Amino acid sequence: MCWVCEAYGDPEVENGRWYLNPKNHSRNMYKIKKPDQKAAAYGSDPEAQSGRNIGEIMQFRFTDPDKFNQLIKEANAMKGSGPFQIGQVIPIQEAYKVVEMSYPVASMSCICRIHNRAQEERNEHEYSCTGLGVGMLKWERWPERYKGGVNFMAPDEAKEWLVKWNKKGMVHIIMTFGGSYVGGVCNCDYPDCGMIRNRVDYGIETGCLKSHWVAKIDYDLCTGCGVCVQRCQFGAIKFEVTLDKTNIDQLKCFGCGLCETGCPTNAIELIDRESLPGLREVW
Amino acid sequence: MKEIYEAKNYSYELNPDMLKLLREEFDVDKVTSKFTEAIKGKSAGEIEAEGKAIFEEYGRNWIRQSQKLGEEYPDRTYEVLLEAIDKTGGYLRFALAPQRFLEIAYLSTQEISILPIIENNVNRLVYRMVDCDTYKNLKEKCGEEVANLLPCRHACLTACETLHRDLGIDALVQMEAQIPKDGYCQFAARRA
Repeated sequence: MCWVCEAYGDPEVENGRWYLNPKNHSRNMYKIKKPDQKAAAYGSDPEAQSGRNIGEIMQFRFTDPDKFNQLIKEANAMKGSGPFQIGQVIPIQEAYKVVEMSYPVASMSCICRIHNRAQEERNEHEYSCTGLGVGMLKWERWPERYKGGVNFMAPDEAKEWLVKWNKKGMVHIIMTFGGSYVGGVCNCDYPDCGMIRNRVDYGIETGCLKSHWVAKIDYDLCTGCGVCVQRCQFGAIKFEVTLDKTNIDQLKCFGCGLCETGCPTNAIELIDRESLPGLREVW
Repeated sequence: MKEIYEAKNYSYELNPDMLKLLREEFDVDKVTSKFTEAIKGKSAGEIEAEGKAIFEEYGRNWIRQSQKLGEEYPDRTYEVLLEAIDKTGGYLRFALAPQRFLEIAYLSTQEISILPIIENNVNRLVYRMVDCDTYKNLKEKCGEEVANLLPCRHACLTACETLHRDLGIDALVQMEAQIPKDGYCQFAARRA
């Protein structure tokens, strides 16, 4: 069980998976503010705070590498109790359950692609991110964040939307927005996605934990076509020339399932990470 | 297109005038006083019957007025919710549409800043009252023994049942926790 499940999961609900616990998808719609209470300042939301904290760490990357490494260690040790957004890779089968459970579900623009690629997604035909829950009812409070608006989707529509991005090779990452509250399931790729990049390039774990699954290949069914190699965002699959087949490095595998959904011969399956002694603590 | 990028002067919170109207009409002090007066010299069985009658009527009127005023005083959060429901299908009115009216009812009559929502999804709406003024009032006026009978539960249960019935949502309402035993009351509406 990952540390987020230990903190926010319910052992009696969906094998203790925190992101499938309905409580983590639930929130009040309204709050009564005291007469003298001012609205929170811009940037005080968890997403912005997390970005700011990671930004502060990054400034030491070249100026003070020791401090940079130390701050990353400290951030990882906080395990979500600090001001860092929690994100975890999930396979599409679990993303389906999430969009069935949460309401409303809306497509929206990806903030990472704006920041990292200057790529604006201006309308529902271009959006690639998915917002979840009551927060989406107040999207107009941040017009700069939600450029173009949002597009509310029924569960079946949301599933088709996830399939569209999965086919394109995007990793589904479930994201929190304050505590354990699940506010989005992003469709991510390297290097656009800030969370994947922070994890893969710098070792900042909180925003991109590995999934509860790990990919396993059936060599009898693998034809060595290489589709899975192309689809893996984490460099966990390589083509083995001597075998004429592909091979998965399970220690590197994030369990996103893109190799599984892309495999033309169904040679790859996802197995429970915790069933493998060497991987059960690798998140 | 430009107007999309500008923050509008919307209110996303509940209208304070609406909350004030409800607070005055459904003051928990008044209903608990009425109950206290009604049970003087009555037996345990009669107390339960009085509690049921008084609090059921209170709960029914309280939620119906909350719903009526909630429609008369819309806010942007509600407008966007209606847009979302319109786009995704009426079936998905549950749980957020009833949740809004329940939040209005409780936030207007209890000294709380939020109504803790434990679950709100297409199958279940679960909410919790932790520091309940009605219970505290009953304890103060009638003593702990009577307060612990929770005559006030009839108000919460009736309110939740009436709301779903009036909204045309087939839901089964249950009380999942009680203040004297659990430290809070918890109510759940499950789609039938």
